[in-house]
Amino acid sequence: MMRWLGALGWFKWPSLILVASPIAAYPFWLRDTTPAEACGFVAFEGGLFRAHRRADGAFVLRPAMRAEEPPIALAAPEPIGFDSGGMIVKPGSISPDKLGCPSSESNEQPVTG
Amino acid sequence: MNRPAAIPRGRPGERVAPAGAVRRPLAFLLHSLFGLKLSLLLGFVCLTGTIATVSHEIEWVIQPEVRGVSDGRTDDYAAMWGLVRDRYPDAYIQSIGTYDRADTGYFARQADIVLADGTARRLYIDPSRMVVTGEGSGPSFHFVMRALHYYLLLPTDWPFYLVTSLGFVLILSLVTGLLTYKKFWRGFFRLPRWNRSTRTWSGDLHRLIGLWSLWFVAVIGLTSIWYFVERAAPSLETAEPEARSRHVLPTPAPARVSAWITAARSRFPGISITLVQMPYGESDPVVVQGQWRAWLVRERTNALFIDPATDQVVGARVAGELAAAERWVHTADPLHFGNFGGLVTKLIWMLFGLLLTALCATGVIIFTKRVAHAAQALR
Repeated sequence: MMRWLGALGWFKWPSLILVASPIAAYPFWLRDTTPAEACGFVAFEGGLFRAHRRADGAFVLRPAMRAEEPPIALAAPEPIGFDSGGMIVKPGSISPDKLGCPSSESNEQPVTG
Repeated sequence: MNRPAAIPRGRPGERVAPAGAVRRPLAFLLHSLFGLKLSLLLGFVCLTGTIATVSHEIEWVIQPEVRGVSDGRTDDYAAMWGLVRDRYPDAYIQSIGTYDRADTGYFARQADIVLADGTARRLYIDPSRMVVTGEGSGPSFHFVMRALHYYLLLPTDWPFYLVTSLGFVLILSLVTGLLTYKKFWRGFFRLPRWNRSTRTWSGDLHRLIGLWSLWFVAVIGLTSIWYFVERAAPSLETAEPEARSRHVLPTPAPARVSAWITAARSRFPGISITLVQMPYGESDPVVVQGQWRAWLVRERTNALFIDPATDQVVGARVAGELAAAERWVHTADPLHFGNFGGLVTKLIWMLFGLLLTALCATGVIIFTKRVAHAAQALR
């Protein structure tokens, strides 16, 4: 084994790093998705949505069949994207306080959707 | 009898130079250089690829929930849709499908869903009993092995380029190996001399495996080079048609899914359905895909695209109608993975994957033994 590694010369270092790094990287890169921070429910245009807040401050509204708490009626917010069933709306479209989301500076960050 | 890689030993009576000073053919030097220096990385990629080939089957052994009885021609996707919807009424059902398990009848189907809190989850459904056999989340064993194999589970594009560039090394090793092995065609039935030294039998075994693996090394090497080129060059695939842009899309009722399936079966009579997929992005169509009248194409080649807002068909992709270049794009995967003929081809690919890994190992043994001999000669 040592003779083999010796024969690899300087190639052994990148090779060893490349083979070992996936093991080290596993918990970091393959983290399971964590539940988004729940804010509550909103209703507009006859639809009921469960609201979550993303790390960048934007809201993700997912269609819901029933509300676990009284929904807040809104004028239709401006959508900026769609992601696997969720409507992404601008941070400024919904007041975080109204929904019970903690206000944060991230609310002001630009969102690309 | 022709022995390969003639390492000149000098004429009788002539002074034998130390092994390191012996002049060897360029092909032999290249073969040794690339084979040895990259043996660790190449062996790792070969081994992980081999495991990835049968990773679904390994999951089948250790995870009872992935077992089931399925047939793409008769599986009731609408009923499976209803089953998932009843279990998670607020979830967005992203897709239900085979996920590269289509050519076998012993797997459950997999539903990928996004829960109301945004987390992803997968459910396994046995279509023959129409029951949910289990649930899971996070990366599966299959996913990890595949990711490990083709981008070493590392971020950015460079690990992918690094791994796929090993295809060049494989082809170079193949060519230089053949150039080095004089009259190689006589070696197919030459058994290793097990009773001789390690250097001798490992060399014999290396050549024997190399000869029988020629076709496999060529297939894996060329498809790997293709993956390298495919990533670096503009795509040869025709873009999927777009649906009407929308931002609200509740999970549809099973009756609508049933109508989509009917449309797909009407366009592709006798299709073996492999996936029903809801949009990821705002202009994505619904996709109903499957295997239909084409050999050596991936599961997603034949597909019907439907606008989820209007239920109108917005396009179709038919394997038999693809231009040669695009057809190749859809053929490289089955060739590389060996999953086009069910368990039989998977096991063949696994066997030759192990042989390829053994080539790396025997090559290293040969080298280390040769170094030992050279060191002895110098003493």
